[in-house]
Amino acid sequence: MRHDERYFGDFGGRYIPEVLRPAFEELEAVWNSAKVDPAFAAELKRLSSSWVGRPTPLHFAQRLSAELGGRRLYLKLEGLAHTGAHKINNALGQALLAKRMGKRRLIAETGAGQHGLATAASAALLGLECEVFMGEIDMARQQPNVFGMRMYGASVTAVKEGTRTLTDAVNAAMKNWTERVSDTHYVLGSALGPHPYPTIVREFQSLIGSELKSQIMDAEGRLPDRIYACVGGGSNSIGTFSAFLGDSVELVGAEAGGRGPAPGDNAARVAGTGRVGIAQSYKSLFLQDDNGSLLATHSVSAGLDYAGLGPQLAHLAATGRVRFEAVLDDDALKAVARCARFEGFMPALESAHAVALALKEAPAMPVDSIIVVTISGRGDKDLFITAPHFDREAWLAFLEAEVTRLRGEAARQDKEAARQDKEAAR
Amino acid sequence: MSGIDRITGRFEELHGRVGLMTHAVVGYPDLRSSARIFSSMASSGASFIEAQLPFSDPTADGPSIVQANHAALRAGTTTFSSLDLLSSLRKETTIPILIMSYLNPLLAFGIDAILDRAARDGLDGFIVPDYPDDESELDLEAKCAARGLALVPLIAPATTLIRARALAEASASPFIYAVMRLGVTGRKTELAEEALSRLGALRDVTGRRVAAGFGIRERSQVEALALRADCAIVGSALIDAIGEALAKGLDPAAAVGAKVSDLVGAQVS
Repeated sequence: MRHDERYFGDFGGRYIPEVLRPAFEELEAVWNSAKVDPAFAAELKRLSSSWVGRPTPLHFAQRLSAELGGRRLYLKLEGLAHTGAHKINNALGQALLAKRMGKRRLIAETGAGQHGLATAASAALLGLECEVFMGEIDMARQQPNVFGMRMYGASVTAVKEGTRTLTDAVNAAMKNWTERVSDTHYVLGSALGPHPYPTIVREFQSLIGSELKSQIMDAEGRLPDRIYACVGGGSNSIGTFSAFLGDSVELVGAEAGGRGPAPGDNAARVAGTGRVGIAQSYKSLFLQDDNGSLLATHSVSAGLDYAGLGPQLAHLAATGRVRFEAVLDDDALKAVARCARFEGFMPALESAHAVALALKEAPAMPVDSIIVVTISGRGDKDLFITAPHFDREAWLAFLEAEVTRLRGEAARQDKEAARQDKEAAR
Repeated sequence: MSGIDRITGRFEELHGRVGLMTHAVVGYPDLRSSARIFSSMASSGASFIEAQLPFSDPTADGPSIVQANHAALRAGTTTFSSLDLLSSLRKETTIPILIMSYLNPLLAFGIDAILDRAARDGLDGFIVPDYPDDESELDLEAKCAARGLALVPLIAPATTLIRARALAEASASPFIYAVMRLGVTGRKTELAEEALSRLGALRDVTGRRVAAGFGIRERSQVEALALRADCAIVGSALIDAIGEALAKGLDPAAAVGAKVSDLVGAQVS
């Protein structure tokens, strides 16, 4: 017997250990009641407006459009949502679900740190405890978000196992949950994992697509010809695409092409060498070796650096409804610079993959085409990656001067404290 | 003799004494040492062997076993070489050998292919922690039973007795695996009276032998289980013994043998 409600075509399911069964039954029951409860929707809508800052704008990229010979390029600026990315849509929704279940503690995995940041902020807003699991490598490359999470009162736990990136952070969070199922809700950050997470996350993210649809109708009076979104686990892309699945709009996912097509150098599941498997409690496409072990992945962007793919996207890839392409690290970095120079904003490295692909493919489209790119996050968090890439010497000089200044300040404070102690002792 | 028969026979040979199922990751720290470790378990008095196929993402396991999985993979262990090792082990001992594996290594090898191979090589059963009874599309239980292999049901602390009975009834395995606490493998479990008396209830409602595991590390715990369970399962403590021996430059197989001898002392006391 198969539970069809858990599947998207051949993908999905709920391959959980027996110990987690009660937690999933509780989550599914609460989700089923919350999703039809007008009071829940009203509370989410109120906070999405007053706290998150929705709706996010759909920006007509005038100068980039001119560069594209008049093809009209729009950017859905999810990076202008509170905490800097689309992740807040799902984190806030699930935090409200946790409250509804009477849980007092949230846990989350995070790659780039955006989901961790969003969960930590939502926990602070609703008065819940929060612990975020983050790969050691990701902590090193996304330090500003680590600081942010701690400011919001979350503890950030370094995951030192395996690849020390997002895949292992998911494992660590799931394991923590098996110990604390009674008082803890696991806020899974992407549209993947065991049922009902792929559905819950898609539903909370689907307002990206529904807003976009009414905004583009207001602006152009018709739907776009093509929509691009970057795909790590797939939350911003499925949130964007879900509103357009029944429309004649071409949907394109940009995966991390990393350094190139060699195994371990990228995170391209569909556009690369992903194969069907069951891991991390769901059935989907995974980058894996001949023995079924997940492969190490690489991307300049921590948020795309993941071996699996949300099951609904795997299904949409299998049916051909969504096309997937791999985008190299270098092209994503160039796209950050191009957005900065031409439109006055810096997309996150993740989102820059989608921009790079759109800019590359647009010239082959008819000149009256309308193209939309979802900008899942803003680029502030990437400062420690982009700054040394674009301006190495100045950045090094700044860091060195800053270290000297902070050390000097600390020494002065120590000296002053010692002087005051001495005086007090007299 | 089928795997199910061999497991049943071993329980009968225990004549009511508590058995010991010893676990290790195949290929940890490397294939050659691993073969010696499993032999040492068998010759030191273990009643059953649980041999884990190494996998990158062992989601039900704690740090010791995760680390052993990754080390085995780094040492080049494959599913093929793991099966070769177990097939050699079968030739040297009659101890029942159960394969513990997550689903994906089985899928990558091919479900039918690996079950055929296990049956042909005289292995006895499977323990698959990420295969719940309500995702039965792969039909593992029927496929195992058809080959005389046990697919051991896992029973969690919150699994109701009614559900435990249903899980056992749907399975041809002579025993169930009672998980003694929440969380992952490794950390020592405090065996509260409530948890111990539940073992008796599980035996009654399922009509199967009960093997108890998760956080069983010491002889005193095996002794505590002796009256209530048919078998104690020890894993992380043995992995830790291997790690400590390696750190001191000692023979890991001898260290595992000594630890197993210590643990089975409980059987005769």
